[in-house]
Order: sequence, then C-alpha cells, then structure tokens
Amino acid sequence: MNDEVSDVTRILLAIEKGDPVAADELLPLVYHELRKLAAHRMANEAPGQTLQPTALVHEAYLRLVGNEDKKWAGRAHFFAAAAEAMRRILIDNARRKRAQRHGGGQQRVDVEDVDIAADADDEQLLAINEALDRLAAGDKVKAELVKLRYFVGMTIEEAAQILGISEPTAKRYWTYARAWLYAEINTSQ
Amino acid sequence: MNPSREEALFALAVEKAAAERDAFLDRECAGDTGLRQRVENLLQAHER
Repeated sequence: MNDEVSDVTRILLAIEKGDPVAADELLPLVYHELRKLAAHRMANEAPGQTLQPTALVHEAYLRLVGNEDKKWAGRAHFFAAAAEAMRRILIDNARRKRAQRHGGGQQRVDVEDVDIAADADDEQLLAINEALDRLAAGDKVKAELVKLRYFVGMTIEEAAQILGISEPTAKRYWTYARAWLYAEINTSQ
Repeated sequence: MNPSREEALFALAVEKAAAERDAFLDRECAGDTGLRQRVENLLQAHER
C-alpha cells in the first residue's frame, strides 16, 4: 500500500466516526487521483477517444481504497467525493472549451485537458451545474443522486446502493430531480 | 410553498395518461394556481 491509500482509508474512517473536517480532506485527494488517472488514460488512448467517468471513478476507488467491499459505509463517502470531483472536472472542461470558442483563435492546449464522456453538451452541463446548487440547498439526497447519475454515469441501482435508499425510491427521486432541474433551467433562461 | 406536496403530485401525475392529468390537477390543486403551475412545469420538463 502506498501513502495515498492509507491516507484515504484513514480519512474515510474519520468521516465514519463523525469528524467533520475529514470530508474536506477527502475531496482534493480524490480530485487529484481522478485527474491523474484521466491524464494517464488520455495519453494512452487513440486520439478522439473519450473516457468513461464510471470506469475512472471505480479505478480511483481500487487504487486509493483497495478492494470493493460493498458493505463498507466508507464507500458511500468515497463515491460522494468522487462525484463532486468529477463534477468539477467536467465543469472545468466545459468552461475551458467555451472560453476557447468565445475567445476565438488558437489557444495553448492544456496537457491536462481530458475528454470525459458526459451525458450532455457543454452548455447544458453548465446550466445543470448551476441549477444543481439550488436543488442541493433544498434537497441534499436528490442532488447527490443527480451527481452520481449525471457526472459519474452510475445506474439507478448503483446510485441507490451508495446512497442507502431503495431502487424504487431512487427511481422516483431521479424522475423528480431531473424534471425539477430542466424546469429550473427553462424558467431561468 | 410546499415542495413535498409538489413532488407527490408530480409523481402521481406522471403515472397518469395525459388525458387524465388535467382533471387530476384540477381536483388536487383546488384553485392553488401557483402549485398547479409548478407541477405543470415539472411535467413539461419531464416530457421534453
């Protein structure tokens, strides 16, 4: 085990014990690992390939935590952090691409620029990102579900398991949250 | 505003055939036009 593995495991255990600071420590570690993995993968893929966020997140889990113990509560905290990290990566990418389009002309290509498959085009991604903060203010679980589904690409089944809710509940939440977000975007435009 | 009522009505209305929704919302919203508008916005967003 390298240092990062024990770091993440230690943080996850602290979160489980109720340490409020530990969650803040987890996000940057997971974010860093995901960026590193994505950059590494991009370097080894044929041009034009896109990375699947679900695969990246699961790989990051295996690298940072170890075996996929499905019963361990720490898993939920890890995937919550990974979903937030993936959200930031996708949003940063979308903003950068928009800046390049609007800025015109050729800009320096970031070596860390990664192409990760998202469910939506850039503009929609950015709009949903903003609406999601408003959803989270009123309903945290639904916002977490959206992050897992939308930014990590998890199935209802996977997301339900991580959030500790039943599949029918997750399905109902998802239907509502998705409609809520689209309605929110429509009225704010 | 009562978000859980809005959510419950949306969940029920989604399950209904489009033709039944109007009557259902008439009955359930009972003159609360704000609530009705919000549920209709959700249904519209859901259908797109």
